[in-house]
Amino acid sequence: MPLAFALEGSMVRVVGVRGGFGVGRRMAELGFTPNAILKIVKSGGLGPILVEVKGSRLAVGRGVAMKVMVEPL
Amino acid sequence: MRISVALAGNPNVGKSVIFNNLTGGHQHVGNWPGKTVEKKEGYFEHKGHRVYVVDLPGTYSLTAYSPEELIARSYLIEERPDVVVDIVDASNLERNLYLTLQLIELGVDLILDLNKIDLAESAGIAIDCERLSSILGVPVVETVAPKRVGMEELKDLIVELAVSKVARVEVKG
Repeated sequence: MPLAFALEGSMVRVVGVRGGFGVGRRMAELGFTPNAILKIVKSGGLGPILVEVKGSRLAVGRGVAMKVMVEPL
Repeated sequence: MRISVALAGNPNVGKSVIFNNLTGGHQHVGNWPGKTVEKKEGYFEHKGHRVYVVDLPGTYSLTAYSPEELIARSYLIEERPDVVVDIVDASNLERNLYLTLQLIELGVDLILDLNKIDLAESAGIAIDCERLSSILGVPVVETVAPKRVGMEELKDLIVELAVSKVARVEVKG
């Protein structure tokens, strides 16, 4: 499912990034590599999703969050 | 001798704290990523050399997307500092070493600074510095910036590397 649909407080695993080459590389640079474990710190209402990935907290916009595919743990 | 040094690294690894320690400056430091969005300059004297230090904005990679990442990249590529200190969060090596590899590929004279080594230790992470240094082919120093641990070693390494670089260039030229 897309990262945008993951529940706040849950842990998920990155399956892949569904998009072009550019977004895939950028997300990998930020730590969204296949099998990376994410914690959804804040998600709800409007605005970006706050995600903890490899020790950093990053805000991910809804558009890009629809392209990052994850599976719940 | 005039030595120029750039501090590079991921966001929120402690670059500005190290900058302040080295130069005695009072760059505003905050515990959140993205604090430094422009480059700051200062200098210190060590062993008779004047070392100019540039504190660059944090970046996850040299493929610049945001304006502050572009500042960091352009400085490294266009200004060619004598030494680049790559400051990494020792408790988060996996994420940080990506930029380290890019800097090595860029061919800059690099020093790897394992900052927050105390946090890594308390998280149960032990790092074999000598091994890391020999695998990467760059000198490694351990620091705890807020407690000023390792600052003298870092200064020594910066001057040593810059001086040996001049020697290498002279031999070639």
